[in-house]
Amino acid sequence: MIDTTKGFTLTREIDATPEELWTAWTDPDELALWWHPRGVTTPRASVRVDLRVGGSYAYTMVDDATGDEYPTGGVYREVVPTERLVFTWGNPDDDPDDAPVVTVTFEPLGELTLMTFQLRGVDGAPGDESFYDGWVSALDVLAEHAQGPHVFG
Amino acid sequence: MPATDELSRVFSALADPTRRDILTRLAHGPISVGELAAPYPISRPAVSQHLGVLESAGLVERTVDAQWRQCSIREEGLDDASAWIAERKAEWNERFDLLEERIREKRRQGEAR
Repeated sequence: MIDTTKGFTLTREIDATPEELWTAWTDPDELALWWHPRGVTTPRASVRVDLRVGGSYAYTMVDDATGDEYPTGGVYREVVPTERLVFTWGNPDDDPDDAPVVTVTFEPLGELTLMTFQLRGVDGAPGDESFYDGWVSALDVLAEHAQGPHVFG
Repeated sequence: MPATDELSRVFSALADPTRRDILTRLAHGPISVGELAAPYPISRPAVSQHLGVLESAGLVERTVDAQWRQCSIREEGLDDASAWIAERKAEWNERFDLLEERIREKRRQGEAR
């Protein structure tokens, strides 16, 4: 059966301690420095962090070339210092219940830390018409289609 | 970051187990509407309604072949959704590169002090 409960996961072994990574993910001074793709800047003044369960955060990314602004924000769902951070990620004006959810965990691996990042659709039972439900099924169907040959063909 | 309307249609079309099942079956090749509807404990019109949603999201195509109405998957209908996910992945990987650079820089500053 198709798994619709998760979006995608990225993992990375980083030469840093879980404490260093926690600071990078939660301190607004640090977030302003990296929380954007290349070619985009996050002005420090746009970053606001209220780090507690139910607290919100917001920041605005500015495209270096065009000056276009991309406000982003969400609400913290779980805050376990140096271990686990869960927050919604979307347009700051949207209902956080309709936004995708990011889960980041940090696991010490000797000198390194294993950082696991997961982006998935809204919580809820699969098939309940939630907006992002079915991300993975889309890819599964594609992969299946690409595999061929067709059983009924 | 907000999805376009077209993407919304694709994602919400996929947000239903019957419609996902229909797509999975069509991934094996085109079949007639009657054959498609047979295994479901819902009425033919209800199946047609699901097909309508999939069709307007650009995920399936209905064609009339002689007296049979045939259904087939539109592979390109999923391309935008896959591309959207691939872009998000790429963006976050770039962020993580910057994160690593930032931590290295901080460590260098700490050593210099």
